Amino acid sequence: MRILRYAYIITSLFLGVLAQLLIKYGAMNIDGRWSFGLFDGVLSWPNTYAVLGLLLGVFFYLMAMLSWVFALRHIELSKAYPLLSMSYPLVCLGAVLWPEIGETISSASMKGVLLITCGALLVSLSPDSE
Amino acid sequence: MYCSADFIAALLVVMSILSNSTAQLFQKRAADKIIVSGSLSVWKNSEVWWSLVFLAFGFFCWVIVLRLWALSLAYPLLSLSYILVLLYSKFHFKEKVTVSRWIGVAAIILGLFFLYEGSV
Repeated sequence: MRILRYAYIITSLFLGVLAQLLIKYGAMNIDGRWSFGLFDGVLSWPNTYAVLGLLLGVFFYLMAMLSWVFALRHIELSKAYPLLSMSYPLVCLGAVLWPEIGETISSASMKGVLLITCGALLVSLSPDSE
Repeated sequence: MYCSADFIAALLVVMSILSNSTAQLFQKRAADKIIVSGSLSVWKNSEVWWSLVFLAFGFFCWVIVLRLWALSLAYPLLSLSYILVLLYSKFHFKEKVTVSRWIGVAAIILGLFFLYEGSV
């Protein structure tokens, strides 16, 4: 199945994007206070959801790398690598659309992201010989 | 000495990119070592350990960056590593880098300029 060979790459891409969003969520909420129990507000313990987000983010990040290695066993790097440049628009889209993160992006920045995506595509798409 | 949060974040982005690219360099060297020695015992390969050290350090820097800056601003900055990896390919591994790849690098630099324009 041809499509299955691309499944590893697409899995790797989406796991990587999700990892970034989770790590962002964790990083921005990490210094909350322990919100239940006897020591409420006394001990400055990291926010449970933030820690979970970070750990899950790291796990997804590692799974994305693993999926990448598996992908390279099935298709050539020259076909797999260009797809990863899609992570730039996808991460930005996720940061804007995920309400917990809720970022805004200006039109100039959007142009920048688009140019970076094209650049990354060109770097990874180019054949080795001229 | 007073340092603004933006200055610290910028420094950490650079450190994160440098250590991620260096991790890539060690991964490539590890793969080359496997080909030369024929030994598949990955964990005895010191290059693999070095790549993990740099990967972990880059990640640590990255988490602090995300505390200070928006993800939609910080993440596209990681494309700088394409430039660094290309320079490593040319000067460390003596690979031939084609013109179209350099054009891609130019597009990335222009994109980073727009990104900066849009964030201030």
